[in-house]
Amino acid sequence: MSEDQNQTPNGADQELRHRVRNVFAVVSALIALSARRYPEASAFADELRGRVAALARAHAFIRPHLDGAQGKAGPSNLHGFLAELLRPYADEGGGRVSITGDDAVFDDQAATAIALLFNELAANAARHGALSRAGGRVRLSTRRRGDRLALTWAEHGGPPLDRGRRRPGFGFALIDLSVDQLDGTLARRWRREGLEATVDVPASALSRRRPAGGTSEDVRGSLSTTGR
Amino acid sequence: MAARILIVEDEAIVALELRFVLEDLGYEVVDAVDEARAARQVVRETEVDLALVDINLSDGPTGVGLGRELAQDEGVTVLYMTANPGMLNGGVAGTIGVLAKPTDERAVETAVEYALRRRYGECAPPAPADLRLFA
Repeated sequence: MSEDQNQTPNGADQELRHRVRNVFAVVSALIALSARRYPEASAFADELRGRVAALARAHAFIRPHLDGAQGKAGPSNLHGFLAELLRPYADEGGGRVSITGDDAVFDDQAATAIALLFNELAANAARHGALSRAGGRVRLSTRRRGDRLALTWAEHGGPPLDRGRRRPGFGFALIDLSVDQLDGTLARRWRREGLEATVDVPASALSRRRPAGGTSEDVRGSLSTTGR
Repeated sequence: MAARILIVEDEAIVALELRFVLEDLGYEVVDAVDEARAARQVVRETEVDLALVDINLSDGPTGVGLGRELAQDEGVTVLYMTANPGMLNGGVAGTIGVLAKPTDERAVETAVEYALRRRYGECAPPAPADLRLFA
């Protein structure tokens, strides 16, 4: 059997994946329908649907892959995933949201946290930050240092920051929770041109699933550099 | 006259939400059906400008072929809406593109407006970012 065939899910697996993805669509529609009778809840419903959509994208991106007899999802490419996740906020030329730096692989266990983290940053930028302005943009850069990966979200061209509005909401709590889940640290800087947030995570947090008996070499090998 | 839209979707809740969104936008939803055969019948019996077509329907993964047929043989503008856009990676000749579910009102609004402008040969605005266009 070729490697390609090895990575193709069987019919039952594929069917299950399709059904799970459909469940996300049903949940999202249920939220919207439930909120219809409560116009005051529409902003809440929009935020919640955005989060459900981020989870759905995370689920959709994890590469179908049969890991031996386990049938687990295999590792995925981080830049590709971030591009897909941020697609609703991007423009055709790619100038509005750019992703550069060292790429890495991550697995299904890290996908939820990564999706929620960057969905919140993007949604916040779209509501209050650089992505709320026509000329605003976000540069997301990733940099590997030893066995750590730093992801920097830098907004440019946004409205002047409203210092009175810095009271952290649930979105920021969700960001903190996601960073914790990745065993990472978060540094936020409120610059004149917009928020700069740097998330620093250990490589091992991106690829937790390893074959039993995996060594630290596996962890180091899980980050790959694809150039800048 | 409001554009006439057919929803082809086997999840009743998703179809209902989509209908509400489209009606709020002023479109006429001619019907919402859950299988290919019923969709063909609607198109035979009434005028449809745009069909929003899911892939996995109650009669199986018949949406791909249905969309192609409605676009190529019936002159209906077709936009796929599916939770599994990977099944359309090669594109489908004659159809506009695919919008991944779950989605939101704004994405539906811009994608439908884009598709209808293409139908009427109007100067189409830039395609919305969520919409994957077919060549």
